[in-house]
Amino acid sequence: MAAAPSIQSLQAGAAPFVLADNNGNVVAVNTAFEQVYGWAERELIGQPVTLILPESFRMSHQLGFSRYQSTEKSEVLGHPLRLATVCRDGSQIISEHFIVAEKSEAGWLFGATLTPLPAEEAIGEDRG
Amino acid sequence: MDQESALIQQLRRTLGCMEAAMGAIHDALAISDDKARVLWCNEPFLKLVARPRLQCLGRTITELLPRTESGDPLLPAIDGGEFSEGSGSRIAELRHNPLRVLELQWDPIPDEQPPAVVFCLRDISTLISYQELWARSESIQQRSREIEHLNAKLRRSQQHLAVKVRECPVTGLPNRRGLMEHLEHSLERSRKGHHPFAVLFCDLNRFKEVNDSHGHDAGDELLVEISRRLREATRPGDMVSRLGGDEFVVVSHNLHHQGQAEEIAERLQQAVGEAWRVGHEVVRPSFSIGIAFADRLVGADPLSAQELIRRADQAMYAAKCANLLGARVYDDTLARDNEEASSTLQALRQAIALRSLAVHLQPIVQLGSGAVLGHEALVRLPGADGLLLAPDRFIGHAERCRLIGPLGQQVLEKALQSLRFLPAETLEPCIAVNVSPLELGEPGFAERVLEACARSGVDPARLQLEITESAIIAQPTSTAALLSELRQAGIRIHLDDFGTGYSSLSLLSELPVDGIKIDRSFTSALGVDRSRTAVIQAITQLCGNLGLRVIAEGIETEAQRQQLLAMGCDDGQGYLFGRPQPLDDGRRDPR
Repeated sequence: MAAAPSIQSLQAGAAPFVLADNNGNVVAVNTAFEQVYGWAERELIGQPVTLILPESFRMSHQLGFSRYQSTEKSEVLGHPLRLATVCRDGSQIISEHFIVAEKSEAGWLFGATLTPLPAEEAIGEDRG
Repeated sequence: MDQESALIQQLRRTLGCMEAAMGAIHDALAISDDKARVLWCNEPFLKLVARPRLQCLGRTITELLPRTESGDPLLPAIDGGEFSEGSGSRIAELRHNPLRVLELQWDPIPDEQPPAVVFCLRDISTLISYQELWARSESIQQRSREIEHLNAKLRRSQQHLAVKVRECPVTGLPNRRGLMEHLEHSLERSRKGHHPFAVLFCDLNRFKEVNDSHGHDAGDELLVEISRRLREATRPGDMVSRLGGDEFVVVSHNLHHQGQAEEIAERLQQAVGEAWRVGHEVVRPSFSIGIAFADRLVGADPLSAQELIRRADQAMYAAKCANLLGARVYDDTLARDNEEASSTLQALRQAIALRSLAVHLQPIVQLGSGAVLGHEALVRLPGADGLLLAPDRFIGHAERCRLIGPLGQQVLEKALQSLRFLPAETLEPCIAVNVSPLELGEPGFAERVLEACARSGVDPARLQLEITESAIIAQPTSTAALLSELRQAGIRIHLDDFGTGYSSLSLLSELPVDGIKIDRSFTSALGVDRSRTAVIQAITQLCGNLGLRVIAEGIETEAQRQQLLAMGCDDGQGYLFGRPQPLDDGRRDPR
């Protein structure tokens, strides 16, 4: 299995990108993200990353996020996930989430690309 | 890291542990919103609904759960609001093999906004399966009882029907009714022309042993196999039937002479004698066969089918008694023997009932001095013509017809009573009584003998029982134990007719006996037959060494007495000293 790409490499790419800290708060988004989903970076920084997730995914995300920090085991890291991303206007765009995690001195950092997908793809379809 | 962040981290780790723990339990858990849409679920829930987590989130629990055994949704397809209104539960069977039973419970989380509901789904198949198993087991047993009842009813109907349809329900062969009709037809045909035929009565030897050892199903299987072999061994036109039990009858036609019937019998014997396996045992079946030949029918007294079967049966019985491997043909001799046997049996039954068996006494003497040591009691049967019959004429019949027990008991009682009337010159007033091997094998023999001694007031030490070697060899362990018991009570045991049977000299030292009686055939050979004389010499010497008493029977001449004395045989009996005699007046044969 190939090694997961680094947060840096994801961030350097063209796909919409979100960076979150170990509390699950947004640290940064790139321009592509702003353009696709309508959010301004300043609106999201310091906000829980669940803001861009559908309501029904938020609890599971929080618990999974917590579990990872406790056990360092995750079902979602390192492989593409079909999920909906919530836009600034409340609409949802089906997108491919690719999430990686890195540990730094300040704690865990989570980086994810959220590439929009054709609308007919089912939400939650796991290709990985 | 500020305090708030540290607290968040701590809470996250705690939550993470709890989430991991929720994944490790067996119950399936899910948290839904007020519309029953799944917000979180653990691993057992994912396994239950057979979907990845991301496909479950946001979907209603109702649509995710598998269907019930009857195809209905596991939970009612409601809008979900009802789940958040209060707790509830239900038990449902899943459409699954093996059967799975789920217990569902839902509890709203109070004060949570928006309202959340916790669903817990527990697999209780194990518990229910046991009850199911018990119920199923009960049901199966009940069905088994019903089937057995129906089978028994069916068997009775089959048997009832078989009589009507003239067929044996086990073997499919014609039964007695079928045979009789066939014989009537054959006899009719014989009367019209010369069509001789033979009836072969075949009795399967030791069939009872198969039944007793391996059960009646095995017995039935053997009967079916025998039927098959008989059918194969007979010729076209011959008839094989089963009378019942272990009795088969073959009717063979187109015979020109009796020898042909015997050849057929031999062929049947060979056919049934093939090895047959039951369990781990190999059985070689055999027949006792009796043949009745129907050939001189024209002009002769009409012979009935019943009579033909009776004759074949009698011939079979004679073959069985003689342990014949071949067949016995019914002839005039057998007819006379049977008539004689019949009248003897009648006399025997009467004598036993009237206690009229005669007991004659023959003295046993000290060969040197001629002093009387005791007597042997010898039974005689009063015949229809008033003459007394010797034991060899009726003991065999008594044994075959199970009359030997009452006969032996009567002789024993009379012999014991006779001690009161024995001549005064008797030194050791002892009485010797013969015992049949069949009597020894009867339960309670020792008790009956000792009771008879007690009733007649005779010391058991004055009683000698004469038994044959065959009685010991047939059941060595049990007979030895029985004889030891009798000897402990004081009764002496003598081996009778020594020399005529197995006559194992090496066995003598091991048998619980006090002495032997040399058979008259050896005594009569003294000085005539060198080898037999040598045998007596050897026996006498061995018994002397073993401390066993030797009594020679059948001494008729002074020369024999002298020779026996010279060999070291001290005691004997025979016409030289006195014939068996009834007690005379005043010492009357006791009744």
